[in-house]
Amino acid sequence: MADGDITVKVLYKQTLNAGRTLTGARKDKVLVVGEIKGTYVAAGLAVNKLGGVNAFGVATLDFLSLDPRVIADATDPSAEVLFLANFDVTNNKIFLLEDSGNANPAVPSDADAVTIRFLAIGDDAAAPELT
Amino acid sequence: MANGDITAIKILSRIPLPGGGHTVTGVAKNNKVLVIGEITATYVSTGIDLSAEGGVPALGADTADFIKFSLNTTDGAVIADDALYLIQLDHADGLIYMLENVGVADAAAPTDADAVTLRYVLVGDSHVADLT
Repeated sequence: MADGDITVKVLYKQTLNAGRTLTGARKDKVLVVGEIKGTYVAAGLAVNKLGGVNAFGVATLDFLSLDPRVIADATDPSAEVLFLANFDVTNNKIFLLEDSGNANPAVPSDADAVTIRFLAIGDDAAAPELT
Repeated sequence: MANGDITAIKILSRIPLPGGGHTVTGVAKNNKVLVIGEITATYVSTGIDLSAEGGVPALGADTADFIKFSLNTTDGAVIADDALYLIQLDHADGLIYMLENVGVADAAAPTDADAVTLRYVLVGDSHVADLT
């Protein structure tokens, strides 16, 4: 597995009966909680290699929140050294900072093992509506 | 009450999430719950001590598949341009850490003894197990 590659595990998936579109079509959404594991690279974790947001279990992404839990250099956040994760929706890459609170927050080192939990809401990649 | 102690945890909403599906071994997993709650505490640089309250279960779920915090109030500071907040849980030690000036050259933790109020959203295993 190259640096930047990820694997995704879905921990929980819930269909949300969101309602109907303006034209009356049924529009169910899905809430997914999952875990991303990968090896970091400065160019970002390559969600694009797993089909983009489909990797989160959704065909379109209405909302995404990332909770970085482990970065190899520091297995947990600590006082004034917190983790920060953002998702680049254009290029489908996840970027991390591991020293938020230090004078010079830095990205993790290349090849650092990382674990990130996520919560995604969007259209279900499995298109759950019956036809 | 010492700095770092949690004054109160208030559950604002607890929503059972049925139909979670099956594990890879075919076992039904239907006991997930979504919890929204509020923590009031006094900050200390060594972290707000959630472990003293029993850890994640004190927040309304046995495990935290996902948790995210937001700031409601803190002493003497408000969210402002270049002065945002970052809040994280050290899952191994059950400690909540904060930064209050993210965007400033030297982002710092809140001052010891600052009163803080945090909101959280949590998805995890319910206290109530699946039926057998």
